[in-house]
Amino acid sequence: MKRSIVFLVLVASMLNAQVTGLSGWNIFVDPGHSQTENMGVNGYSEAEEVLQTALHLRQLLLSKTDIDTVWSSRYTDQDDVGLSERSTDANNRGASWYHSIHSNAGSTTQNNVLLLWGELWDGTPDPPVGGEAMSDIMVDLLADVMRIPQHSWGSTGDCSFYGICTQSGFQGPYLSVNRRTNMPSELSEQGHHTNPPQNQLDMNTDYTRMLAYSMFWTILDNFEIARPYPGILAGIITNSETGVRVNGASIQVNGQTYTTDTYESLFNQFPNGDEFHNGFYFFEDLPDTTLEVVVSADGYFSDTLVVAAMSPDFVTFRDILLVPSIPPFVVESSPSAGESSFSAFSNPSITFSRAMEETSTALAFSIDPPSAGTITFSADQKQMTFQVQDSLDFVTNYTMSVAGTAVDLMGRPLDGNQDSVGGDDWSIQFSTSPQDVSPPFVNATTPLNGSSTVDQKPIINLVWNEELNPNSINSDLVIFERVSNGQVQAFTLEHHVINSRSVLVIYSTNDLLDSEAYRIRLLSGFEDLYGNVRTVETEMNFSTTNFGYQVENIDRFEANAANYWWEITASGSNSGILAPLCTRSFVTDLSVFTAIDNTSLKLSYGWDTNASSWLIREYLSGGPGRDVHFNSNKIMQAFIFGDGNGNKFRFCVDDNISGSGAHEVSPWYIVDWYGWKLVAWDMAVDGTGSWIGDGTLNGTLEFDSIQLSHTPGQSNVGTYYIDNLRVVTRNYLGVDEMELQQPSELALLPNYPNPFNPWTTIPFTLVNDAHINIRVYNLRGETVATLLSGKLAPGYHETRWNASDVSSGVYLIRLEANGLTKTQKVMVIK
Amino acid sequence: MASSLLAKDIIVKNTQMILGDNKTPFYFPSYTVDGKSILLTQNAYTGLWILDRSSEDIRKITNAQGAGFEPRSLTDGAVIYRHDEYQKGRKFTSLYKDRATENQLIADAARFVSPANMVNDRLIYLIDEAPAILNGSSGRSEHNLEDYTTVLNDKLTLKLFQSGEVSVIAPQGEGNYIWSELSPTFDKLVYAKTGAGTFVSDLQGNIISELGFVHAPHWSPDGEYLVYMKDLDDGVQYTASEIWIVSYDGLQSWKITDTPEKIELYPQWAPDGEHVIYHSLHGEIIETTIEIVE
Repeated sequence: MKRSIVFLVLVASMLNAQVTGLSGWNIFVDPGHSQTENMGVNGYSEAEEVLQTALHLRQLLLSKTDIDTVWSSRYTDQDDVGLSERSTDANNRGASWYHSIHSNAGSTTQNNVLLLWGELWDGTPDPPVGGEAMSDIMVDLLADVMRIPQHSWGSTGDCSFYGICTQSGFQGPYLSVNRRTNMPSELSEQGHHTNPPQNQLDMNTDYTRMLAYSMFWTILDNFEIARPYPGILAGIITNSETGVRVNGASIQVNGQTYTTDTYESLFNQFPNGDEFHNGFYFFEDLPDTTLEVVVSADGYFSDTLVVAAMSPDFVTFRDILLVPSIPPFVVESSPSAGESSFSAFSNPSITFSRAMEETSTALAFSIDPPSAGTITFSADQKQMTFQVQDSLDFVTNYTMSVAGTAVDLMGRPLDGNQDSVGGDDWSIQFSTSPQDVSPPFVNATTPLNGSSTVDQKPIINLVWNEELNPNSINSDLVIFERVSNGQVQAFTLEHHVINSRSVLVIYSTNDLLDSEAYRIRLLSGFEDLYGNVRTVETEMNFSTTNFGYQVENIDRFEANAANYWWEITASGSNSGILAPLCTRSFVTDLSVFTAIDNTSLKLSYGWDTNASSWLIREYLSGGPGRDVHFNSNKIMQAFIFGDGNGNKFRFCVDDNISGSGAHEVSPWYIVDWYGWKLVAWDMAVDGTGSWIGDGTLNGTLEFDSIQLSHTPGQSNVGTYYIDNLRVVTRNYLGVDEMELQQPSELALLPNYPNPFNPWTTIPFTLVNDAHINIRVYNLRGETVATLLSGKLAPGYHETRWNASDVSSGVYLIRLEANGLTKTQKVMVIK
Repeated sequence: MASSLLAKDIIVKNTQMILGDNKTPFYFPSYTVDGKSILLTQNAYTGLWILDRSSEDIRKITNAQGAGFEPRSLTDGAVIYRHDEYQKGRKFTSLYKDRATENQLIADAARFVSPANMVNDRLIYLIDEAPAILNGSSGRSEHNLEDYTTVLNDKLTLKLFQSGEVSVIAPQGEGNYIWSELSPTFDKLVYAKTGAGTFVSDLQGNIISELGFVHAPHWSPDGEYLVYMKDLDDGVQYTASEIWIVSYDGLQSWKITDTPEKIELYPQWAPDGEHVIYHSLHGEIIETTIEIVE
């Protein structure tokens, strides 16, 4: 009886198995991490994603082949399995092979496939060999199935990839699963869970099944076993106009129906799931014949295509573009409906939901009272602009309309009232503002006028009530002087426009005297965009401190910064964000003036005003900045270029880093200023804010992250620039007049860097008080820029040139002082 | 029993690096039965070496793959090790005995050969779920399972062999059980279920103590304590690990290492009960001397 049962089971197993050749072989599959570790950018973790892949791979091997056994290091996302448990489990079982499944993390735009096999420090494979050959096959198949590139390293040894194995140190393999297993092994990275479209695809279990197929085929290829016919048809359904993947599309083939994921079916499990799409569909075990595929979705024209031949041993991909059936409508306009102070000098514009046919749309446009002008379209034909010939009338009520005769490129008429039926008009009313007849004025400064604790190398921000005409801004209109004797100080002037306001940023290019009074004078001549000229002087006074700083830089955001700072959306700590608006980049167009760097960190944020809490954690994941260790007696500082929107900023550090450290944060700083401000967290005095730590700065500290938050009622979008992140201690040895070293000659010193783009620093020395000019000329002798003009004290000075407005080439810098001149060549390379 | 445990304390007397040549890293040290030598291996359990404590000589026993995975020693000083070979990707494990001239094959190649437990110089282990007894001295197979009490990790449970009876123990339900070990007093078990933690139970599976997420536990020779590692990882590499000793009831524990800059792994207790040996992430072999005081 017992024998007959065994016999029947064996027969059933053989009937089920299509593929032979794996009998006697077995594999330990290891879905990396546990529970919801390594959270993806859209809320689906690496641990969950790779578990799905592993379970599919196990099911495919057991159901389609004669394999003996497939173990898994975990079968649910409840288990918390450590590395030592994984390798021990596989070793104890006598497994023949070990495959660890992971996905990668990085920026929101990175997405690739990587395979890592065990490698020793000298480049040889870690015995027992086999992982390298398996990896070489899998990297191709996995990338082909995912239709994403391979990592630049492709399939490689883990020691080479991580670059830390040496004969006298860590000898490798680097990865624990390759190092502590006693069978051939490798680890796969199936794309990046920090990439939003990829993370949304990963949520679909059939997608992970498709990835598992690539691993299944890899095993067969490795053992030279023919792949069985899979009958897999898969692809992505996409809106032909917007490029957005379509939720809820129905795909019918061979009597089966697949519906792409929707908020109701899947995405409701994730924060912001109402914004998610993957458009993915998947069929398997379809017959090897010509197939008709019918695709339909609400709001789209149905489509039919024919698949003439299915791939005999791979996925047959068919991506489908669905054309929207709804008529075009107006998305937004400038001015908006009811706007009461539209500038008469501005050009009204209308943005449509899709590209419009230009002739019918231009003919359908009208403005009343009539105004002379021309109509233009954006390159994508979605935006139409009425270019006003002179100006609209001041303080006038207007009606702007587009008749229902306007049609899109498919001939569908405009749906003016958005009732999903085309052919009706769109119309708004607005009124224009009074003519601006007032000159501009400075209505805020950072630091405050009259401050007595200004740094010895200050940055002064003068914030205007409106935008200035850039042609009216000239450093000759700015005098920076010592109050006691009128001695002119060297400076660099920058102009920035934030929220329709001009900000003049004045960088002192030298250390000022300690505890000394200084004055900024803005002479008459500044002009607004409407020709109103300021005819009186503006004055701002301040005094310097009696201390400097002993500085230890965490990051000046120069070379390699992008390797260490995560994309904003990569952090699982974020909440209440509008992900597409949250970006981090490293820019040279706005950075703190220093002699040694020109790059700053730019953080753009977008807050979901419907959320109840808001947090961005911009994380420093590694690099030299993480190696800066300090204690709570330090002051943490960073220059923050504020947008004046009233949202919040703070620092975060890890404390007690030698033990079980926690995250501690500074108090929040309300960013209500425009331009640069040195934000300082005096940790011994200011205390901590509240987050996930215990509120006490214990032991040794290291920097963790910059954090932002929203202030309800304030603007939900904006941008900060951050530079010179550092820890400092006060140094009460300020610049004393007697300590200034007096140079022996007039000299124009070598600029640095050279060649450069766009900034260079130009140092020079004066022997006596002198009225100087520093100008830049091109080789035709034409003046390109005036960098400095005024009376300066003897000593060492610096000025700086932003060459972003000139082309590549050689230019001449000329210093004129008391009738003497010095000239040197500099080179701009772009 | 618990009151006597509570009255004791464990003092770390000394920690010394036995091997620390970075050019020749060794891993997974274990004492021989007499405590006079230490067995060592290298990456991925490839090869087996033996270090004589008195002469400090190191002798290579074999280059065989898998030889460093759970080697065993006999009371006469002989060493028995595994030799993994692959035929068309299939793994086969043989057992060899260390000999002065030529190492002796004592168990033919088989699949799914579990680590062996040692009882009276017998290796008791599973071959594809079936129990096997190998007399380490004679190299012959035996079948008198009723003479031995031991516990082995099976596919999804633990299997207790006692007086010829086989009982299945799965206190946390079916799953991946590892690191099971019978106490020298034959009345308690330590084991881990992956993802669930490490536990001490009686022989019926009744839990005596939960030790938490600690790994690679081993009994002290007197069966009163356990040594284990408390390791942390980031999913691809260890990030920290220290060695601890805990009383079997879980009420008292002692941190044997306290080195944040060093990752210590896989401790083993010496037969004399006064030493613990382990390796560092970078392949140093380290021994800590302890004293149990009243």
